Amino acid sequence: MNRFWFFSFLILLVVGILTGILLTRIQVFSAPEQPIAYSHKTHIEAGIQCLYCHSSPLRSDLAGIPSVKKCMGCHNVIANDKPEVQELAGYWEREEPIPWVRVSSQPEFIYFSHLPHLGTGLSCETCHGDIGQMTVTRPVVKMDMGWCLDCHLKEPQPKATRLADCLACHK
Amino acid sequence: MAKDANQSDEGIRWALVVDLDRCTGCQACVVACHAENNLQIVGEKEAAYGRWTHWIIIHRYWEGEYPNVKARFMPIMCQQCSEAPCEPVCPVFATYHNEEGLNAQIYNRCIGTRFCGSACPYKARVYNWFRPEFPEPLTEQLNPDVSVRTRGIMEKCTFCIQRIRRVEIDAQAEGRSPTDGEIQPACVQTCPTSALIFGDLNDPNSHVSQLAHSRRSFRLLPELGTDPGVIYLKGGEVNV
Amino acid sequence: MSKKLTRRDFIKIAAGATAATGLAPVARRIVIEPFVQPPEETLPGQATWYASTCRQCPAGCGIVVRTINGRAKKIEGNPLHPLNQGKLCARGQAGLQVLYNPDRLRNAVRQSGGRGSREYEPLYWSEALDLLAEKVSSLGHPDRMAFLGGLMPDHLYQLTNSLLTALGTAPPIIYDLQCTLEGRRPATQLSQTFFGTADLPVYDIAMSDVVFSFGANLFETWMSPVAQSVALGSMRQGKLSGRGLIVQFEPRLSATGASADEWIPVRPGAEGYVALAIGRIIVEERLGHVGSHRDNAVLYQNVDVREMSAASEVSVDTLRRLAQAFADADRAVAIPGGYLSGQHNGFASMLAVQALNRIVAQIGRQGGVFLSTPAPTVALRSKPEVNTLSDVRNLIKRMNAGEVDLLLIHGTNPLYELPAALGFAEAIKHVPYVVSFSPFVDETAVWADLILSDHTYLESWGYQVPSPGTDRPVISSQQPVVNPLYDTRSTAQVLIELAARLGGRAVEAIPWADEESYLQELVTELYGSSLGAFDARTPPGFWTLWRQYGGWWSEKEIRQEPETTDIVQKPLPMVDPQFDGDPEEYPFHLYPYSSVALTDGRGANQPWLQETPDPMTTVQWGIWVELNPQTAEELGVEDDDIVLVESPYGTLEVSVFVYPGIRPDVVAIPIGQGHQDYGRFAQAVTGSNPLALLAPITDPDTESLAWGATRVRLSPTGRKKKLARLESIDGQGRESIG
Repeated sequence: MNRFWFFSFLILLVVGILTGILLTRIQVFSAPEQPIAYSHKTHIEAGIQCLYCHSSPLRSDLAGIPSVKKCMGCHNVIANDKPEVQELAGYWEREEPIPWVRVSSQPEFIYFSHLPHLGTGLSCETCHGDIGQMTVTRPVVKMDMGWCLDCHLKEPQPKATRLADCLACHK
Repeated sequence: MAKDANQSDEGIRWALVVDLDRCTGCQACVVACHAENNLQIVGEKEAAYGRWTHWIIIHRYWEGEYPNVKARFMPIMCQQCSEAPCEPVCPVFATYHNEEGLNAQIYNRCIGTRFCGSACPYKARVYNWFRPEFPEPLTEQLNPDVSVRTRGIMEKCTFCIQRIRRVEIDAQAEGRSPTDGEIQPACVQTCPTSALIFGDLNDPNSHVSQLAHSRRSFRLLPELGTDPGVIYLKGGEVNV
Repeated sequence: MSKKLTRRDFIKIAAGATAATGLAPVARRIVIEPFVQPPEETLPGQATWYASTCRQCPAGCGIVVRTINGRAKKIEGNPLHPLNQGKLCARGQAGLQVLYNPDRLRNAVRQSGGRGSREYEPLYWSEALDLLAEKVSSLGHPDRMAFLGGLMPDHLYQLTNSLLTALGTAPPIIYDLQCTLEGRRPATQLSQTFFGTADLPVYDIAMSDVVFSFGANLFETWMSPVAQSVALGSMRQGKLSGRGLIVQFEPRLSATGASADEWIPVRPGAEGYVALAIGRIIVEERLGHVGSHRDNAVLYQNVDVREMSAASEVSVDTLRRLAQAFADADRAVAIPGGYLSGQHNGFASMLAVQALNRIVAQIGRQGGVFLSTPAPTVALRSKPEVNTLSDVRNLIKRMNAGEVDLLLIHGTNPLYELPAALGFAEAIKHVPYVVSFSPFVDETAVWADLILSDHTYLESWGYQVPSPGTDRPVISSQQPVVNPLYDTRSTAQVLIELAARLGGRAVEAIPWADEESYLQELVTELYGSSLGAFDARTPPGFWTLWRQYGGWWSEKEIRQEPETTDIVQKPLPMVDPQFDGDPEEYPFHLYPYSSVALTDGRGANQPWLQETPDPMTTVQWGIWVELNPQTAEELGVEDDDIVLVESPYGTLEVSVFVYPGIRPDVVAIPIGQGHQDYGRFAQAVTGSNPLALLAPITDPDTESLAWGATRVRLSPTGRKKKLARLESIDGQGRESIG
C-alpha cells in the first residue's frame, strides 16, 4: 500500500515538474501585455531605424526606451487620430511616464552592456529576433546562460576564454 | 582587451600595492568600498559578534609599551592569491581563479558553506548573516553595477571588477587599451595619501610592477605559498 | 517630478507548479518607465558626473558625483580640484547617506504638539514663509531676533548678513563644535597676531622634511584633512629630497600620531613649553643652517629649558635631540593644532609653536608656512568667521533675560554641541519662537516651533573659498547634483523669499529673484580673469564652465607669503595651564577628541560612518573611554567594563578601552555619539554625550572654549558592555594576523 502511495506521489511530482517546465517555456516566449498596443512593425515599415528611438546602445549599457517627448515629436502630427496615439497623448498631457513592460531582460546579478555587443558587429536582430515583423513584441530567445555562452565560446581564442569567464557577466 | 606588443605573454595580472608608509588609517577606503559595492550594514550588536561585512579593514597593531608605544596600520582585503586556499574547498565552484589573476566569487552559485572563509588565511572573506536592509530611500544609493547580496552568501573584495570592466569596455569602444592607472578600484581612487596603487603586475612598465620590485615590498604570510596579488610596502623606510 | 526612473517594480512568480517544484521562476514582469522629458545631459543607464563641493566638514573639498537616471550613486574627489586633487575622506564618501537619509524631513513642519513634543504637522512653504515673515515683522525691535549658524557656505552667509543688517539685527553668530575642536577662531587670531592678516596659514607639509605637529590631528579632522593627507603621501614617498619625518606632540596617540615617526606624550597644556624649550635650544646653541639667531634671542629670553622640561615631562635630552632635528632639516615646519587651542593657555602655546617656524626661517619658504590665498574679487571674499564662546554666552544670557523673541538656527546643533553647563537647553525655553533650518530633527530642532528644512548639500547651490586653502586662489562651486528629493527649500532661497515678503530695506538688501541668479551674478565677476584654469568666451559660458569644473582656480601657483608683525620682537608669552576641577578630587585630564568618522557628531546619522571602525580602537557604533593600562590596573577595570566618569559638571557611563598610547593621567573619549535625537542611526548607539562633562571655561586670550581643560574622576560600576570592535577579543573568528 505504501508503495502505491509512493509511486502515485512520484508520478504526480514528475507531472508537476513537466507542467512547470512547460508553463515556464510558454511564459518565457509569451508577449507581455503593454500599456499601449505598440507595433514595431508599423514603425519599421515606415522606415524608422531602431537607433532613432532606442538611441543609446552605441554609447551606453542600455539601448534606452524613448521618452514620451520623443514619441510626441512625431505623433503630434502623425496618426494622431489613432486611439493608441491618443492614449500616448494622454500620458504626455498628464506628464506621466508610460509604464512599458520589459520584453528582454537580464537577471539582477548580470552585468550586460549593449555597447561591446554592437561594437563587435552584432545587429539588433541577432538577439531580439525579426522585430520589424512583430505587431506585438515578444521575446524570441530564452536569454539564459547557455544561450550567452553559445556565442561567447564560438569566438576565437583567447577571446573565448575571456568571454567565458564568469566575471565577464556576473556582477 | 587588446594586448600591447610590449606586454608579456602571460596576459594581465591585476595587483594592488599597499604603501604602509603612506597609510594613515583614515578609513576613507572602507567607506568608499561600502558605497561602491553595496555592502550591508549590520548594526552595533551584530558587529560586536564579528558579523560586519567590510571588504577592506585596517588592522591596527600596537608595538611596545607606554611611553615608547607605536601603532601601525595595515589595510587587509582579499589578497587575490594565485594559489588561493579558498578555491579548492568550495564544493560548488562558486569561487575560482580567472585569467586576469582575480579570485572570483560568483554569488548565485554560492550556497553558503563558508568553507572558503575558514580556508582563507587572511580572514578576508565575509559572510552575509542577514538579508540586507536599506530603509527607504537608502536603496537609491545602491550601485546598479553590483549585485545586492542576500543572506547566506559569502563575499569579499573583487578589486572592483565592475570598475575594471567599465574602463575596459569604454577603452575598447575607443579602440585602445586601458592605460596604467586608468583603472582604479574605489579604495584606490579615494585614498587621500595614495597609499593604494592598482595595475597590471605583468606589465613591466606599470607603476605596481615597479613598486613590487622595491626593496620595501613584501607579501603577507609568504610561507603559505599563496602568491598574493596584493603587495605591501614597508613603512618607515626611504624608497629608491 | 518628471524625472521618473527606470524601475524594476515587482516580480511576479510565474506558474504555481514552478514554485512547487523548486524551479527558478523565469518570467518576470518588470516595468520600465522612461522619462517624460529627458534631461539634456543624461543617457539611459549611462553615468553622468556633476562637480560640486563637499559640505561634510568646512574644508571645502571638490567632489564629483556619479548620477544614473537622475539619482546620485557615488561621490568621488574632483581630480581637477587643487585642494583635494581627486581624493576624499570617509565622511566625504558617506555624503550620499545625508541625501538619502530615511530620517530626513520631507516638508517644512510646525511642531503641532508644542516644542519638544516631536509631533509635526507639514506646512506649505507659502504658509511657512508667511509665518516667518509675520514673526519677523512683529518684532518689537530688530535686536530681539538672533541668528545662530554653523560654518555655512559663503553665499548663504552673505545673504544672511545682508538681510540681518538691513533689518537692523546683529550679524549671525557663527559657532559649531567642529570649528571649536579644530580651533578655527584661535588659528585666525594667531594669523592676525603673528602675520597681521586673518587668512589662515597653509603648512607646506608636502615639501617639508620635518613636521612638528603640536596637537594637530592632520590626517583626521583638523582643518583640511584630505589636502594634508595628500601632502603626507608626497612628503613620505613622493619627493626627491627623501622621506620626511613627522613628530607628534600630544597626550594621546591619535591616528595622526600613529602615522607619525615619533610620538611625544606631552603633559596636557604644556605643548607650548615644549615649543619654547626647543626654540630656546635652537637659538642658544645656534643650531641649524640659519646664519644668525641673534634677532630671535629676544623671543626666548625668559625661557628656562630645565623648567620647561619638568613642566612638560619631556626630558632635556629629548628636547635637544628634537631641536637639533628641527633646526638641521632643510625644510621644517611646526604646526599649532586644535588641541592646543582647546587649552586655557592655548593662544600662548600656539604663538610659541608658530615662532618655531620663524627661527628656522621657514615663513613663506617652501616646506614652511604660507597663508591661504584670498579670493580674487572683494565680493567673493566675504565669508563666515567663527565667533567666540563669549559671543555665544552673551546670546545665552540675552535668551535667559527674555531679550530674544525670535531665534533662527542654521547648520549648528547647540543643544548637542555646546557644553551642557552653558545652559543653552534652559535658555532656549525662554525664547518665544524658535526657527530651525535643519534637514533633520536634531536635538536643537526638537525645541524649534518651526522647521524650515533646508536641502542637503547635494541638492544645493553655493560656493566656498576653502580656508585654509592651498597654493593658489581656489573657489569651490556647489551645485545640485540631483533634483531635490523632497519638498524642502534651500535656506538662501527662503531668505530671499522672506525679504520679498518683508519688502522695504530687506528686499533692497537682497533683491535677487532666486539663489541661482545671486550666485551667477557674484561668480561671473571672475569672467575674463587671466588667472583662471579655464577660459570662457562669454559670461554665460563662464557660468557653465564654473559648474563643470566645480569652481574656479588659478592655473598657476600663487602663494601668499606672510610677513611677521612686531610680535616677534618681544619675549613670547608663557602662561601656566589651568584646569577646571580639583586635582585631588578629579585626578584625570579629560581629552574629548573628534571622531574620524563622526567628526563633531554630525556624521552620527549616517550608517556607513557608524559602521566604520575607529582607526585606533577599531570600535564600530560605540562610545568608550581610553585608559592607559596602568590607570586601568589601578582602577581595577579592564576592557568593556563600564566606568562612571564624573566632572564637576556632569557624569557619563561608558565602556573602558585599555589604550596603550595615552598618558596615565589622561583619559580620552571620542565625540560624536550620545544623540537623543537626530535619527534612527544616531540614536541606535546607547551612551550619553561627552560634552555634558565639559567645564565652560575659555582661553582668556581667544575667548574660545578650553575643551581640553576639564578634570574628571573615574569609578568602576561593576557592569560590562561589550564594544563592537573589529579586532577579536574572544577568539571568535577574526584574529589578527601577521
